[in-house]
Amino acid sequence: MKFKSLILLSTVFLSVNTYLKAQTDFYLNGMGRVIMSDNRLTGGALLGNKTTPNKGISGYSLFDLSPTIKVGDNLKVNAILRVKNPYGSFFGNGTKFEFRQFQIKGKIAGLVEYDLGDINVGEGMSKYAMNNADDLFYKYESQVFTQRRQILEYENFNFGNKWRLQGAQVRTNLAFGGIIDTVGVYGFVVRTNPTNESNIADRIMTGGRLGLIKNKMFSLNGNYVGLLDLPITAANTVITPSVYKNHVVIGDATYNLDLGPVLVKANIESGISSYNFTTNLDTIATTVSYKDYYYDGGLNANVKGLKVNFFGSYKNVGPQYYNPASQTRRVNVSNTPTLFNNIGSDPRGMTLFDRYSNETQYNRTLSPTLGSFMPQYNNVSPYGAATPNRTGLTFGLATDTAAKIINAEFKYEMIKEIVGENIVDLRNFNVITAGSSFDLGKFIASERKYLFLVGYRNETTTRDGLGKINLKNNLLDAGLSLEILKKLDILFGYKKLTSNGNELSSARTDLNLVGVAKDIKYNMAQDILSTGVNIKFSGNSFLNMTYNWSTNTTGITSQNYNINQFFLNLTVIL
Amino acid sequence: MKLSIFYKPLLLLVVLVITLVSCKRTSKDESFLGPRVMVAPEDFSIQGDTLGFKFTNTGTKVNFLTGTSYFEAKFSSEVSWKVEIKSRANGAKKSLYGTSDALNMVSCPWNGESDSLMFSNGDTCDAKLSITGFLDSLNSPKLISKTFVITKSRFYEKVINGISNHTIVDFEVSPGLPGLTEPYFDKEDELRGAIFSSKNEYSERAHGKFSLYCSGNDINNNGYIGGFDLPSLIGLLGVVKETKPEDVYLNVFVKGFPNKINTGLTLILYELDSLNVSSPAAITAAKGIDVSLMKKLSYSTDKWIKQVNVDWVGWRLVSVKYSEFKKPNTNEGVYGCSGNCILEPHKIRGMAVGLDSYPNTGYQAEMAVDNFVITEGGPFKP
Repeated sequence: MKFKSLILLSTVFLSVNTYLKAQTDFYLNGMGRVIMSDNRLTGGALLGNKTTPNKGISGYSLFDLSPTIKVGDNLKVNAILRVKNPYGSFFGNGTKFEFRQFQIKGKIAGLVEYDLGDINVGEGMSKYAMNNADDLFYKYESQVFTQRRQILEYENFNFGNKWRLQGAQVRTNLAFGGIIDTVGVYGFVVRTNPTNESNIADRIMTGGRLGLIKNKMFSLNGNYVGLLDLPITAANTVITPSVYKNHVVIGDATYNLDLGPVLVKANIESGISSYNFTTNLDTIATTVSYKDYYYDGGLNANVKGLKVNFFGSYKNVGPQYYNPASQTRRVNVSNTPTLFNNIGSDPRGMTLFDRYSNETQYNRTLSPTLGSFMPQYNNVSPYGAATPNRTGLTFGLATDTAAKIINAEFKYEMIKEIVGENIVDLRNFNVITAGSSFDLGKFIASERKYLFLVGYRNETTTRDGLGKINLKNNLLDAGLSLEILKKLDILFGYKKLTSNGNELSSARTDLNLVGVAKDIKYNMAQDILSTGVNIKFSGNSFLNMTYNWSTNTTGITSQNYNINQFFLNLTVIL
Repeated sequence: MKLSIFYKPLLLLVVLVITLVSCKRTSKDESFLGPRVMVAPEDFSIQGDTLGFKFTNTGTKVNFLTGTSYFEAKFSSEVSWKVEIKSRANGAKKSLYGTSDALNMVSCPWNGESDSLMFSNGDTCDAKLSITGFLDSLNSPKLISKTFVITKSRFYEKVINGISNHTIVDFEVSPGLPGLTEPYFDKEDELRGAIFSSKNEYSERAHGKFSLYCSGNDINNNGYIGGFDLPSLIGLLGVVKETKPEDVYLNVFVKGFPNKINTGLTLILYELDSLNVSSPAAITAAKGIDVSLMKKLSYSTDKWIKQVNVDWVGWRLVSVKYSEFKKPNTNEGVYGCSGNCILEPHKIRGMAVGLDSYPNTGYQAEMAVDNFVITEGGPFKP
């Protein structure tokens, strides 16, 4: 693995040589971005504090040049070369050059597609097998927030629910006809952690999806994800190498039945995980092993006349169902914000505004243990669909995606724990999620876009008994995007997060076991009010200028603060 | 539509779920996950002692050599609590957890053991009691503090929980027998400032008031910088009784420094294979062997070596099984593997420690070591 670059380059040259006689295309793509922000920190937390920096201008300009060589239909080599120049650097001082991405794609015998290098892993897989979940509800947020979030997603390679990792993947579809219409095969192998050739092993993740049966009525699929440490010889070290093994096997199936006015879709999936981890605690090798399972099944009835979907599902995810590929959090709440990282001598905790403005708040690799989370953002599913120790019902209705003018949905979740944490009593979670978007432009048949959005999420966590918990979280979204002139949008967005009550949160130990609970009381409100303009150029290029007011209110004046920010984003895509 | 076509997929779904769910859930029989936690109710109070809690009844001093030491407090209800003890001298820590309606000899004993580093004679310590759900107006845990002084620290030279401890050297002013006291250097490296010296700064000691600080630069690129021996290399004769190499450990606190990832700690143990371990008289006689005579016994002398890459920053307790020691790469005559070449811990006679540029030669190396202990039956537990 030391010679990864050499191997990749050799592969390129070999491949290019092999297809020398094929038609060769070379083309360049690119993305340029300039970001500038003027920031102000105010509020009660700064009263009497004259040492904490409370203003600053920051930003950067970058250009991602993406050359691609395409040899016939069988080989494509792509790289992204990045030049990044932070604000304040002069004459190239501080400018960074880096390879942001290197990919080789191709097709073997016209049948099997392969990707090598930096790849997005997990295509088509169950959310219990592979997931890169954001625990914040933002489906109906304003475009002003979406544009900020997309910067972070681009910088952190968060494309859908896949994880960006290094390795190889292949896929193919075999047509059979008859009841078994198509069989699809997808497989990958990536390295999530390099060895130090001493006491840290190479950690390899391998897996894939096998579509056993796929036709118009029925599909049956198998998924596998394994995360394993390759054995190493512990030469000249006193620390016995940790050995991690986790296997996940999942079967999922869908069944479609067209009853005329109603299209019924049933889906069910179930899987097992087997977890075995040996590590050193106080120099003593300690091993834990767990096996667990989950199942999740649901029905969706599409009433064609109403253009509405009615849905319901029931799930049971075991307390020790472990799968780092589907449970690693996208947001790492342990990272200190880069903007005004300290107030006095205390590190500033992550706020709602940081989740839209801090590029280093995100995980870029898989975590073998369940990461820390903030209950105020999402207490029921902090690790996405595969959050362990959850069972219950979800039901609701949503407009058919074919309805473009109005989109709306309502969802209610009644979830509870399967086994208590630190106490026999179980947490109960009740979640209401609702949202709607209305495109006035389409409604009045205008070419311009007049979009109104509103979203709401209410989450209640309760537990009775000796370890009482009562936590209420609310998240409100309101957004407006008005194309007042052709290609010029006025943007408005508002977010409000409130959290009141108490929670007893248990962080995970090094062995991924539940630790001692800490009691935390919540009395907080965070607001972001953003407004500005968006000027669209050709293609996907745009200039975005906004002003953002964010507040963090805790009920204790000395902990309250506000961050106000002017933000400019010029993005040019070639 | 044929029924068989309709039902076959459904049947497959049911079989799929039943098959996967038939897997046993490991936590099925657990009543709850993790340690038990009880939260303080709103009217919770700590009763009795005006200080909230106290350490035995001896005021502000504790002697771990006499009696059983414990924290005392009485609560208005059963709660989960945590007592965190920290030495002001070197930062040694111990955390005690529990769920009870009182702190007493049963629920909260403390015999001077630690979670990291070691508590020592004369250490001033702070103990802080926190209770789950017992918060102040800022929603931070209410901490009740107590300061005390350790007059006599925990005594380790005995069998504790089945582990027999033998301290070799702790680098204090009056070091215990046999001590590591004879330094030597690669001459070229010594000229360029290689040093071994006692340190007593706060962060430089794992135990007591001193540790041994080792630093040097492998100028001549041979990997070797320096080391130090037991006097006459016979001080450990008769100390170890255990015969199985996998049950004997050499333990030492090692401190790594930033940007010194090529620091190597070399541990060397010597055996006297001709020793009649069952004869106290033979052991006594062997202790009288001088260096010149030892050379004549070279035919029965085994040397075992273990190199450790100190690639961390801060203190860490390193415990090496005797079975992980290897014979040197080359036969080094009188101090090489020239005995029976079998690991025999009960015949250990002496020890040496080296500082190397390792795993790569030619680099600066820096570390501090403290409290060498040989244990039988398991690694050292401070």
